[in-house]
Amino acid sequence: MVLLVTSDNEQFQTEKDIVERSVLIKNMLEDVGESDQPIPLPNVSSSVLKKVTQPSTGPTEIDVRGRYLSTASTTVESPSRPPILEQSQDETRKRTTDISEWDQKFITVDQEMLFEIILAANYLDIKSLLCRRWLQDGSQHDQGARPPEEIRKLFNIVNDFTPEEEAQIKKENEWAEDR
Amino acid sequence: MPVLARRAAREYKSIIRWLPNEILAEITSYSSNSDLVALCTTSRLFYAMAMRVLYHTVTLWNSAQLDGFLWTMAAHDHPIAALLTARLPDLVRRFAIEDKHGMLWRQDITFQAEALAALLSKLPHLKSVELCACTPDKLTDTLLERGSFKKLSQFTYTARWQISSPLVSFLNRHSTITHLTLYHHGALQPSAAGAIHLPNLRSYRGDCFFEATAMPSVTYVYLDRPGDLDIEPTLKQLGALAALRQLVILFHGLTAAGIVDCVARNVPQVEILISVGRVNTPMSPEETLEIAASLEKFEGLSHLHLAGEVNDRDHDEDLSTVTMWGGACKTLSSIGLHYAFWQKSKGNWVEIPLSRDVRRYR
Repeated sequence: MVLLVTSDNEQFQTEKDIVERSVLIKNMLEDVGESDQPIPLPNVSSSVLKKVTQPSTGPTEIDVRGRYLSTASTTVESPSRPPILEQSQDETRKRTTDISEWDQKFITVDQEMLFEIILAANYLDIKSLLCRRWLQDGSQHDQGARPPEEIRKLFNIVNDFTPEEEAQIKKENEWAEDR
Repeated sequence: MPVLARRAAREYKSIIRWLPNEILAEITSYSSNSDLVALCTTSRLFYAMAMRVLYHTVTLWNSAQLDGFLWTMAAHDHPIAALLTARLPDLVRRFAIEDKHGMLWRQDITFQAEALAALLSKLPHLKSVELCACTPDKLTDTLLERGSFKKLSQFTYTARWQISSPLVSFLNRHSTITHLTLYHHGALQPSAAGAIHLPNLRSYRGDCFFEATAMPSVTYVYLDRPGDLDIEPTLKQLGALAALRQLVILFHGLTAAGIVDCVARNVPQVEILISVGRVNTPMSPEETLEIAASLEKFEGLSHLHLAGEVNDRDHDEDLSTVTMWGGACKTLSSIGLHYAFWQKSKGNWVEIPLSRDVRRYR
């Protein structure tokens, strides 16, 4: 077990296997070796840390195109084990949808909390968590591209293109559309 | 300790205004091509960010795409392009042709093929090229004949038919290649390609191997289901590689004992041997003895991983097997047997719990 101390001075006993998904903590543990000393996380609050360490199973490897390659499981059994782990490796598409359902429960939080999680995941260097939200939304558009308007709404992006500019960009990137 | 960016969030109520660009870029890098195309049109900030990811890796799989790509690279000089602070050709690092179904094949492709070869040769940062052709192909042949990529370090070529002669001269023109992957599905005789000379090659993966003296720096070889029924001549070639340290063999023509024996006789210099042979599980006592005899011939083998199947193996029996192998080859420090991994610790062999990485390797 590893002792973590958050920015609001709360202490967390967490299993090593779980916290080592954070590259930052993994490196810290390697640096100090076996020790009972608590690890300070000055950039992470207790409410966020609870979220970050909550999913003890889940997809961990993602290819450059944003699809799950494998579903390496940890040795820790979790009641929230998503159904995806029981499926064959070939059903990539289907799996993404299932992850989405499972993720929905995990990461249904308000916008500010969500972005604190993104910041914490970045600080702790947990790649899988960082892109989880993004992929989760993408999986709902399995049959085609996600419309730009929807992305703008999701992330409160203000459209600063004229319609002509938008059309021009769309045309120049037409070749790159997925199969 | 509150993160400074949080205050900005309350003010703007938009992550785009306060999430640092490097995090947005990180998230963007996990997107599919379709999402990247959509992201480019959402705002100027995302245009600048997503275009960099979109053009980092260019993959073509049909002729309409080829036309579109050539058009875009030639026409990209409109005002919005200035947002990129780089020219499109500067962004491309990786180029791939993935023509698994012959969609790029057409009679009149000569002009496009030459234009593409000229364009790719001008990309200043192109480091990786992958060509996967399903038929004898004018396009890939033209790229091999005309292409000249100054910074090429990774090259992959997969052909279902015969490997064309431009390949050999292409490889010899690109001495910068450090990683080569070559699948020819039995169509190329290694001897026919003896003239390949790659002085900087460090890693090779493929279904055959060539004259080893022309690749003196190779440290890693992955022989992936070689088409030949007899792998002895190939292993003899590998034996001449003084720098070779790691050898991975996927070959179902022999049992694990057969592979270890063949490697021990021909490539005794390897330090890491990972082998997947014809599976006999659990391994018979005769086979474990054969392997022990072969292990004595290695010069400095430290890792021996023999893949097998998960089964009702006997822990104590495996312990005595790895102890026997450790005795036969004193340099061994890690053994994989029956999908369990053993490590030498203070003179004793102990089974190590599987980490996630090892599970993935399985």
